[in-house]
Amino acid sequence: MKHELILFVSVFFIAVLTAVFVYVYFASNKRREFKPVKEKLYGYRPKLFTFLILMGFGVAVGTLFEFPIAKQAGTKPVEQSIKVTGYQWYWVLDKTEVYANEPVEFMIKSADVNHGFGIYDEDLVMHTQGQAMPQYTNRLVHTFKKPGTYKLLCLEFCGIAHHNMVAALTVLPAKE
Amino acid sequence: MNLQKLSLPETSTKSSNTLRLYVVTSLLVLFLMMLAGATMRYTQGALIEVAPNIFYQLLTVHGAGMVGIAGLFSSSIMWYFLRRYVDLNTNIFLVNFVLFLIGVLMILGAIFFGDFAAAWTFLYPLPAKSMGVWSHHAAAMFLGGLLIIGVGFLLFYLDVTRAILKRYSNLYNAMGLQYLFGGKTLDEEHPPAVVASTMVLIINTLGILAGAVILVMCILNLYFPDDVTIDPLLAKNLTYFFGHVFINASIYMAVIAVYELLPKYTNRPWKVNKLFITAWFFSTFMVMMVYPHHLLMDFAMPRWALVIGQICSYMNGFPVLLVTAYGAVTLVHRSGIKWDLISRLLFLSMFGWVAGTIPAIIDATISVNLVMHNTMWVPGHFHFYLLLGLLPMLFAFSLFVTQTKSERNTRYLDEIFFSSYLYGSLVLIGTFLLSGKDSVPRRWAAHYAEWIPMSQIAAVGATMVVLGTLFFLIKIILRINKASLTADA
Repeated sequence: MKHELILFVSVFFIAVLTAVFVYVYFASNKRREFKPVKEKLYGYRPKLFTFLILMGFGVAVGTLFEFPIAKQAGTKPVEQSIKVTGYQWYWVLDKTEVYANEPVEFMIKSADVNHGFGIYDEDLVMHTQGQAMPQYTNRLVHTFKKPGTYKLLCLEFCGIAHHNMVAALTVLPAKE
Repeated sequence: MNLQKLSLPETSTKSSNTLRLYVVTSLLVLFLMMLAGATMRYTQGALIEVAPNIFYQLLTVHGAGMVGIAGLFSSSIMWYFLRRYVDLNTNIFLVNFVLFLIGVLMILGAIFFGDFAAAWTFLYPLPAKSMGVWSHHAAAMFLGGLLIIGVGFLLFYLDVTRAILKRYSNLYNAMGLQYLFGGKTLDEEHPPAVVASTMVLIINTLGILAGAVILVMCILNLYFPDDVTIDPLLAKNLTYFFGHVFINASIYMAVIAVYELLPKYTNRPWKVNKLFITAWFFSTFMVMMVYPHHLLMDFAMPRWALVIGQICSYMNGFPVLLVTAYGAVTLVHRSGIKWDLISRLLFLSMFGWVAGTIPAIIDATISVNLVMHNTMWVPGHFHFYLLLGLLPMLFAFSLFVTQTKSERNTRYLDEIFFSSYLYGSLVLIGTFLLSGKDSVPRRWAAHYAEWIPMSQIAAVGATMVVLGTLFFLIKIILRINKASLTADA
């Protein structure tokens, strides 16, 4: 759903922009004096700017008010915690089974180069991700809604077998 | 201050030949890099078989080559138009070209003879850790090649700085800030090309210096791994700062062609105003502050930096982009413009630049980035503003400066291949974005069966783009020797 919404919003704004450019293209064949055209169109500009600024402000507040990335330090222990380490070209997880509907904490790091830790469901839809870096541990928290076998794909180019760097995680039905 | 144009320096044979070198080389490299890109989409579409090591070599050459040639090509636009207002040194520009060629040869050698394939990003410590695929010498050759290209650009920007300072005394005046803060009455004749060039030399000098730091450190790390180590997060910051600023500076250099050429086609002047100067002034900072949007999935980054990455990405679109694109639309509306290949490309470039920014801004939202980062969405948005924004500026400029009085009428061919380029680009971009929506990772040599049909459609689009570009290339090369490259004089 999130993916569809992202596409829809993008396509909507691109379509509006396309309509403006196509209109201007076809309306350009008749020449009018520049001054009134300029005054008219520049008259709209402050309104457009105000609208875009307000929209940007609203989206920024709406998407950042609850920060979308988990706190990295000073957090309480999470029951379902997995240490994830990326190697060229495989993942090592200290646990490969978790329960649905409970938060899972992934402590992601790399033993060699940069990797990207992407969590995909059985339909190959990505649910979330985080970078795996040498010398750093990135904390990713995610709650699985549906049980199943999830794929863990590498999303940061890491060498010749990058596309083969895949592991599995089993999400069990929620505890009673 | 007398801001009239200088006497026409572009009439000298040396400068014309230098421009010829830039245009022909840029077009050829651009075309070859497109073939590399198309080959990758054919491979992902399972239409041809390419071994992963070769695929990642193509990925590396395509990324580094496209960014580099975009910079070189765009610098020729800046040089060409800026010379009307300040006295640039042709020899320095030629040195930039020679260093670029040396750098390219080193990069090609590293990739195709040394098997180097760490992508253009060369994220530390990948160059040193190939698992035996390439040697440290090959990595050093690639990184050294980039470094030499950077040195050439720095020399060019130094010369630009010298020339601008000579005429305008300081960068403050060159950017027109005296009209904003100094209480001076606005001089509408202040050239947009000078404002843009001043901004570019500031940001790209800093960007290239950041790139040089990480390149030198990476090279030293190859040979002295115990003595020279780099914080991987710092390395990432430097790399993305460099890459982000460099490609954006390329667009800012190329957009000068729109400022200079669109008024000729519409018979309407594009004069600076206070909003225009304000926009370029703010963009100077925005373009440098926005780069953390490449690092949103590096949770070890300070939270404030990620917030800046998102918010500045929203704000970055306003200044230059909306002011320039809005200005272009105003200039064209009801102008009675004669639509030909050049004017269409100029107008298209404004559309592509703005439209491509839309999926980019959306992806810079952290909650979106969590499911879109490093998927095909990312090449989707940058191919949008490069294929339909930057490249049309470059093609339009090349076609404009190579115009001759006695050229053949190729209107129908123009129509066909312009359409091939435009619709091919839209197909290619559309498939990237749709694949991104479907979570398909970028930079994968082999695709799962579910992802293949979209890559096959992308291959069709890529072919159409290649054909369109080939037409532009042939058209320009056929007439470049006859053209004086002073068509604007």
